[in-house]
Amino acid sequence: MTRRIIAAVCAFAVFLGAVAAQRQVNAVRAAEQGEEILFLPNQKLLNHFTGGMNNVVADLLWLRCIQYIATESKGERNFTWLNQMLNTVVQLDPYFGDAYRYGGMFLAALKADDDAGIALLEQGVIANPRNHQLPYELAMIFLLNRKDEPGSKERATHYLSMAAAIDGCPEFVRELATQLQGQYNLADVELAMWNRMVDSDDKLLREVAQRKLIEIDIRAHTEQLNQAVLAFNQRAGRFPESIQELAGAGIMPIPMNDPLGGTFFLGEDGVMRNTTLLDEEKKNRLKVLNNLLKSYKNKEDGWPPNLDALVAKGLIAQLPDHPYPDQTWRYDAATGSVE
Amino acid sequence: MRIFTIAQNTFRESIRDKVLYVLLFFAAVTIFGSKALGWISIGQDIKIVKDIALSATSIFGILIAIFVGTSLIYKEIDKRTLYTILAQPMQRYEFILGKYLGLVALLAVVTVTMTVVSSVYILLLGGTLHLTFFLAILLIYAKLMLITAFAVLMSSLTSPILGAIIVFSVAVFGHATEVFRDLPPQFDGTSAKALLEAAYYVIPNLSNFDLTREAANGIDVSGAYVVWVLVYGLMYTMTLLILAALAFQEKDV
Repeated sequence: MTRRIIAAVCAFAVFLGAVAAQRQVNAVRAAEQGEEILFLPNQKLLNHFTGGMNNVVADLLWLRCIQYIATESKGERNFTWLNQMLNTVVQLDPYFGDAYRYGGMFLAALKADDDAGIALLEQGVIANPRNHQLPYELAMIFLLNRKDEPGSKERATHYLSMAAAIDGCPEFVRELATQLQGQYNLADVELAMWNRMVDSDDKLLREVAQRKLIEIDIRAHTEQLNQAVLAFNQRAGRFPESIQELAGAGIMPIPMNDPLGGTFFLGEDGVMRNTTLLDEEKKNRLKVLNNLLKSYKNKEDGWPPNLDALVAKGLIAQLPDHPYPDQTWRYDAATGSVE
Repeated sequence: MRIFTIAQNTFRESIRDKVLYVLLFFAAVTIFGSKALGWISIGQDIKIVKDIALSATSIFGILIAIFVGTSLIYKEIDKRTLYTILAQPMQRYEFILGKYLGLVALLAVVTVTMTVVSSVYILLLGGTLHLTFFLAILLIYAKLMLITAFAVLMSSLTSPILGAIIVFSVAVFGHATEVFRDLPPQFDGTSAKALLEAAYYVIPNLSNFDLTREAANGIDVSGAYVVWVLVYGLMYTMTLLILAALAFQEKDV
């Protein structure tokens, strides 16, 4: 009996040791999270060496992809490996409609990599010509992310018409396609898109949509504040010197508390801004700059001497401005880092 | 008639094998457990259940074919029942064919059971079943028939363990044979290219039988494709069975 108890205690102690070791493994792995995609073989070869289990491997990678998005959303929000992960998933299962759909959306909305999102969705449209959701998502990218680009609305209309022509397409897409041919109302389009997603059964999609809806609210409130600044300007013949002065004039709307922790401020140029929106924009522009710097390094075998060299080499027509009006990009030519 | 009797006996004997029930238990756990993966998949739970159900049917079918198939002849020799059977007025090929048919009958029962269980589970979860799902099962069964024929051939030639390793390797690499055909341009004009292209035709191309992608995503497949794959499977299976009969004919028991 005593021996049995000792054996049971030993087994339990060893088991606790295994649990502790697992926690250490997780801690080490957390530092390298996402980079395991580097160790996967070439996407085409991977297709051949799953022993006929391509779909199961694609599903497992898709789950890994979702975990990666969730982790990055709450952390650095870099999404460095997202594109490669998604491409591997659809290489293994080219008919995985929702991997294209959500993947394209995440690439454009979270990683701010419209090109990758468009490429993934266009690949999806070719592999799944009967899926109306893929051309719809493509249209959304052209409408929302590329709204200022020449020809974007025409391309959006083209994709919406394509979606509307596919069996099973919801009525609102058809209506939107018609609406686009009339007057554009992109704020409503964006609001409707995230409102549909906020009712999703999936927690991650709900969280993404909730954040986007809050950002829309903040943008609308900033716009209202700027209207108040204009009203002040018309009344006083000058811009207010501070928010307090604007509030004192009695024409400012009730100030909103930014649920994402940002603040509203009045710039020296007399424009009201919000730090949450500016920080998000800064992250997106930094991603663009970092991608350009990497392209430059790959081509020229070294970091550029300054950011203007990116324009000189034709990698971009014009450098994105720092979203904070009183700040500029700080670039270190030795390390290629920009902040 | 003699073939049928041996097939019947093989079926009865195999269905009592404990390995079969262990594998079926794990297959059921895998299929039912797949729903858990679906919880974090952004609405992909039904697709994941379908993917895993089809893959489980395939992989556990292959394991049953390997574990039962490669020991078919060895067991008869080990238990010395083979001598009694061969003493009867019967050709050796009839024995091989009877054994084979008994095992594929067992696999038919396993495949149908797993299909019924998976289908009911998918329907209970609110999913729908497309014709392609059942065509995928049909091709999985055709693949299992081919692998079983290979297992019977190995059973006539070698020990159960070595046979199981060889059949398992072929079952894995049989899904990757297209690598031998789609060679990069630097292979053009080399003898390696001819050798690898020959390997492409010699190793059974098991990726032909894989309709999982189409089945899980509800994509139509052409009837001609299914028919030609079935013809390929039948021809290849017959080749292996003829080789198995020849090998057993020459075997010194």
